Amino acid sequence: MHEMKLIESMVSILNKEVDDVSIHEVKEVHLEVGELRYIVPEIMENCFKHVPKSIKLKNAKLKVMVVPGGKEFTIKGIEY
Amino acid sequence: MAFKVIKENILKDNDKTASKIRSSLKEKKVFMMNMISSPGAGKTSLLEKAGPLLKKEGISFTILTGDCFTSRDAERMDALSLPVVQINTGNACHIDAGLVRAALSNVEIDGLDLVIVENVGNLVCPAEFDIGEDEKVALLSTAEGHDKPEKYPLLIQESEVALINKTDLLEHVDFDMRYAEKSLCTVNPGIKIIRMSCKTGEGIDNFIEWVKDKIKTKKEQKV
Repeated sequence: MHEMKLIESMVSILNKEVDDVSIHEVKEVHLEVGELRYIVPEIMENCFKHVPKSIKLKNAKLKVMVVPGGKEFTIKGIEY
Repeated sequence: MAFKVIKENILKDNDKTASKIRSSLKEKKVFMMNMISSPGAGKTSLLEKAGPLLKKEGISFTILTGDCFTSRDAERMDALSLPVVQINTGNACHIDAGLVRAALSNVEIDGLDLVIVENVGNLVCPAEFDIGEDEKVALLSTAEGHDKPEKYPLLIQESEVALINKTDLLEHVDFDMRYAEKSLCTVNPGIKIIRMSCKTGEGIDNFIEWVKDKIKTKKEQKV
């Protein structure tokens, strides 16, 4: 299941990004995924719930936006 | 509520490792191919046929074979005295650049012409991960049906060559070769297609010629 591997990579980037005093709690993470990556958004969102992550990301929801015909795997940003 | 823009590729760590592998192999003029297929399409059978022929051609190579749990494929190649390193991925459905870097640390790269990575049997996930290869090789088989290129376009788009194995079964299965080849060219107009059978040996020589060409081109590349 490569969704878990991808989520782990994403969380390792996010853990560094939220290490910022102005961020107390992340509400939502926006991820853009190309259609050609064959990702099932629900599986990614579920993996994100369960993977170990920074306390600031504990209650964050993952919002996956699928780009038709694309190959992206980009964290667009975080709402906090 | 505030928004922090990040715009970061989540595969950046993998891609960084892949780039390091690619530059290291470029410096040493070693060609690396990443062979991807569904389980049972014939990756190991192809290596059993092609390995001894590559040896006969004087090509120095190593095989990195990926499997979730067992070492059965590596044992099959070891029985033919083919140089092989087993990569076990556990529950992961693909080989990533970190696993290749670890496996290559067990190999004497100097003097090699070729590294063959036999990825985990899967048409989806392995195509997503750059492992530092020069070329991806898509291996299809007549037993799978002729409609796979359009169903798994990323692999086909990223591959330089598509091997269609098990041509010996053509009279027993409903495989439309013209449809399959047309689909491959629709998804990737530049793809090279080689029909072959690991059972009868048909077409294996064409694959060997392709490999020899790629090694030659790599050796001629300026570092």
